[in-house]
Amino acid sequence: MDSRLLVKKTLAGNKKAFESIIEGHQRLVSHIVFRMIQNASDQEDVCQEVFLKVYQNLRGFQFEAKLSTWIARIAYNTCLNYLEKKQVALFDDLTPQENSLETVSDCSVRPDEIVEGREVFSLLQNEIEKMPIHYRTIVTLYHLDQMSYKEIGEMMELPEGTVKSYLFRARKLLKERLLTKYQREDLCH
Amino acid sequence: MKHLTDEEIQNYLDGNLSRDIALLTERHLETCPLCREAVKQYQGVYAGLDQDKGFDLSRGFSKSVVKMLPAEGEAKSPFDLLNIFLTILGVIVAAGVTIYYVDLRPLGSAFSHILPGPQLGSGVVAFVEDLLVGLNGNLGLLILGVLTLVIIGGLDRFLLQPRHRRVRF
Repeated sequence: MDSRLLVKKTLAGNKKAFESIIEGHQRLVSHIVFRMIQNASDQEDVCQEVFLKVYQNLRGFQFEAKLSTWIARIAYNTCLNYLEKKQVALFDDLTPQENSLETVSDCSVRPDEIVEGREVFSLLQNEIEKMPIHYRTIVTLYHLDQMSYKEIGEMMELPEGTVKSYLFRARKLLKERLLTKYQREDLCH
Repeated sequence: MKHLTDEEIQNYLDGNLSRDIALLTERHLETCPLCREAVKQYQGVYAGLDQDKGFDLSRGFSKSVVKMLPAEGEAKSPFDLLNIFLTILGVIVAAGVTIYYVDLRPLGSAFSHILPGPQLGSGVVAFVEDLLVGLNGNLGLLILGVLTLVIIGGLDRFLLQPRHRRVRF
């Protein structure tokens, strides 16, 4: 159903319409929350909080952006508030050590070959979890939710160029770490 | 042609290159094994990222959230009756406390000459003066103000907050 119609019905008191909004966006919200918050016992609570905020503020939403971008922004800000309360460092950058990993171009096994294995897939997930919050959020939104640079930028209040730059650096780092780790674990021998 | 940079490879895989540049890139890849290798490495990373199945919320998550919504079933309006009531109450309490602590009689006298008509003006000023004299030093008003604040705090604690408390599945 059209998101404008769902919003209109929700504002008129139709809870089924709001349930449809939740169902249509819970995947997106869970991606943001689960990527940003690593404490498993709080993740679902934060997702609830996000949708309650969406409901409370729906009257003020005037479709300046897509409904999904607006909801994603609420999710992102709710996570930032949560992390600030927990005193988690929010905007760490990739450290020089992380950046200086040498590409192992002479490795005979490539990520496209090894990624087929479950082990390597989980290795990639672990590497994403180790990245700074805004890097892993951007990677997730771009690849998992197919959001554009513009939408991600609107959501995180960052210029499109910055989003693109973070995404490039994150993927480069993932590629390098994957190759390095793969070699270190004697998978190249 | 020089080797492709990481940024150029990612732009190629993201489909961000113009048609001409993309064609040039493809031609280069046909002849350069090093760049082909680098592209394949990135393709591996992209495949891993796209393969991610995401995260699952509990079954019935949406229904649980809906159960937590305000009972009246309407999205919260910034001007609902409770807000208006609390605003008026707050203004009354603030005015009461101000009148109790601040001697407003000189202010009343200062404006007495601009009130319409000598009879009405003097009557109003006299009334205000009587009121202020009555209020100044009135312990009962202070107790009333404190009681009002306690009642507002109680309403918030026991009626409003439970509505927004998070529930575990």
